[in-house]
Amino acid sequence: MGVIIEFKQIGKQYNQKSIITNFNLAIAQGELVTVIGSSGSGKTTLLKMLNGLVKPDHGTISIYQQLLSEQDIITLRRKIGYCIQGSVLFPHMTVAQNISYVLRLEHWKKKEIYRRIDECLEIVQLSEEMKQHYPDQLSGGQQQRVGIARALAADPDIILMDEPFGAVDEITRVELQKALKSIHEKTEKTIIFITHDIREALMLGTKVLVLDKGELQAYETPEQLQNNSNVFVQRLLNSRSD
Amino acid sequence: MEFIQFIGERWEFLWGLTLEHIAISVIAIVIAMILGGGIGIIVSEFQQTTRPIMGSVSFLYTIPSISLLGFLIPLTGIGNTTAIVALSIYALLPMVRNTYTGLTQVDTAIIEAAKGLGSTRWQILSHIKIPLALPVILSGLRNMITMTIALAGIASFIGAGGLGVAIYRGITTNNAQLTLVGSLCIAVIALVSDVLFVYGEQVWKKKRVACEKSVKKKKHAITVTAIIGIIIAIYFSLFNPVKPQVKIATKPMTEQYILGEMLAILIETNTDLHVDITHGIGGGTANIHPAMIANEFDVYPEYTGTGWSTVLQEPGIYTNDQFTQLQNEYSKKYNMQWTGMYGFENSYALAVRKEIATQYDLETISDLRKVAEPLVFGAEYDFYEREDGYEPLIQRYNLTFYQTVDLDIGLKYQAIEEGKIDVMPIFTTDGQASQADIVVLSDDLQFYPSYTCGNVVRHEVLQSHPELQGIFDSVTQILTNETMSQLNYDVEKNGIEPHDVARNFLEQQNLLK
Ligand SMILES: Nc1ncnc2c1ncn2[C@@H]1O[C@H](COP(=O)(O)OP(=O)(O)OP(=O)(O)O)[C@@H](O)[C@H]1O
Ligand SMILES: [Mg+2]
Repeated sequence: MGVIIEFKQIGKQYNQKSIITNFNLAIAQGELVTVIGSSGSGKTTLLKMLNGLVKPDHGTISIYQQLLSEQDIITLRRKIGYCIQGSVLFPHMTVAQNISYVLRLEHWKKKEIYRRIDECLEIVQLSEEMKQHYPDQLSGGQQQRVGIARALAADPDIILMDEPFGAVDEITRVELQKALKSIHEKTEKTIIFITHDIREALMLGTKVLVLDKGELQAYETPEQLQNNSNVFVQRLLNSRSD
Repeated sequence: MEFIQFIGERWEFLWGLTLEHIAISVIAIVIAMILGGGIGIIVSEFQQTTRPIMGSVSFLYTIPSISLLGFLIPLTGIGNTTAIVALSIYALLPMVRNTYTGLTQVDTAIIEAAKGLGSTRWQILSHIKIPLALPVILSGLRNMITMTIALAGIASFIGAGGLGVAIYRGITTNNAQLTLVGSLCIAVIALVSDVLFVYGEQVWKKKRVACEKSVKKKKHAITVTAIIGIIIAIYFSLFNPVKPQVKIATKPMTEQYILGEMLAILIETNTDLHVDITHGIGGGTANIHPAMIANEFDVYPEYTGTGWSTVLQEPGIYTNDQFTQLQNEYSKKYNMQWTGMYGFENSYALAVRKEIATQYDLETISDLRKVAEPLVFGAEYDFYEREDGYEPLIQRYNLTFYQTVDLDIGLKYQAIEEGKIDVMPIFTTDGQASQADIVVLSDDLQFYPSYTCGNVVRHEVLQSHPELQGIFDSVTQILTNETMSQLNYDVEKNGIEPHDVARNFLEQQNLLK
């Protein structure tokens, strides 16, 4: 499988404080990368660089072997599913309208849109009656699932997910993990998935990316990670039993 | 009861003004809504524009309405256009400010989500920011609508229509009921529109929840188009009636209303010309004369002394023997002429109680000199402050009164009749002068300019409608000071309409066949 995403010597500062330092990584097509690291370690910042919401101060990012800075960012964003941290939904739109947002931007046919909304609702395990609800009528977990559905709607080849299962209950979470895994296996999509939960990271990922203070600590399969001697990785693995 | 009867009698007049008021307000509201919304969007999207534009808009808002109208008259003339422009300018600020506040308050996380999903800047604005800012924008719009409807009341000050006409005419002709009804109608329009606004907002919200299929949107579009169509229709039916061939203006004074009506009646009965009167232009000469130059009016009643000092800006006091010079200057500078001099004069004068005049045999102000010492002089407060007021007057005539008294202008005549004062300044055509037991002393030293009344007409109008000369000839010398003040009294105290007073008088003079 070829490289689909590549970070080269990425550096990023906020207010003179280094958030990401000399970050290098190549992600092969079809990986499900789980990203783990403590709060404030720069996970969201890295993710946002991939769809141009954050611009690196140094270094380059390539997607599909083409520099990000040379691509039309709007076209690219519509091909990258983005499930934003905290699943920020559009409060003035119904669930159906939220999910179909990109589809409408892309001028899909009405019929196709309705069909796709139903499919997405099914993937995230929401009932059809929810369609006409507004976000403030949903629980936190339901809102997150709508956020996931919105990111999946246009069937993008790259999907960025920023702590998508944080607020869902344990049972639904297992269902959603299964659903994500099956989407990934069936479709060869490249997925980058940020989580705080080391067990989820190990269980879901084909690769696990460990980040600390803006520096790459490890990028390996879950099996390889078990044997990693990195202090931070060890601490992470040990926290599992808590 | 009387009040309701009053409304019943003036129903047609008030209804016309109400429609006109609504039309003027709605046009200004729509303009401000589109323009203010647009500016609000620009200001919030392009940060470098925020300070200069917000600053200018706020500045416009602080200009007092009277001065704003004054600035606009040279640009847009007298009438509805100026009123609409002024109202739109005032309505701009609430619209811009609320649009700006609404748009900039939208949660940045929501904007980032929209951006991350691949929205263009314009799509973020139209799909996300504007809908989310709508409640704030609408609350600004709601205030703006009420404000504009209320403010439209001042439109008549510069000759525009609307209910301000009723208020203003009520004030200038001492008709409190008319003023009250005008104000009430404005309040009712404002209230009703507010209720409709809230109702419309609710219906719209419900519809949005119930169904967002495009069919409904089309229906919306049809309703909106229909409403706009109706407004445009009202506008044209109100503002573009049969093109008048003679446009008369009057100042906000009872006698000018009567004179304007007289001319209109005479012209319409004796010629085929169609007349349009704009009554009670605020600011009087200062605004009517420029409008005459701009061909917005053809004729208006004017006083020689005012023409001399205000229009020609001649120094010194105008006396009747300077009429030829006045006439020549008007013709040379403005292509206008004085014609149809009515024969009365609306000047300042001193009046004394009749018994005193008989006792001392008084005819002129100079006659007062030897008898003033025991007499009490009464006048409204500002008479003692004015340049041509009390001090210069007593110096010129070398008078010494026993005492001076400050009075409310409305109580002067009562005070002299009750003997509280003996001498007072009046206007020679004051309505009450015709009834009171007073004698008007002539200004033998010509302290006051002469304010004989006539018509100022544009040459061009007389040339294209020579038949008008006959009309002006027929009004020449038909009024004395006493008759004019009697007619004023009929309007101000007997509550007869200026139009009816004018018609009765013309009938008595056998000028109507
Ligand atoms: N726009 C910004 N301006 C200033 N500092 C920022 C900005 N965005 C992020 N930061 C800082 O950068 C650091 C990394 O933030 P980031 O959101 O990438 O962390 P994270 O790993 O996603 O954390 P969490 O797990 O809590 O979501 C934090 O210290 C944060 O305060
Ligand atoms: Mg984060």
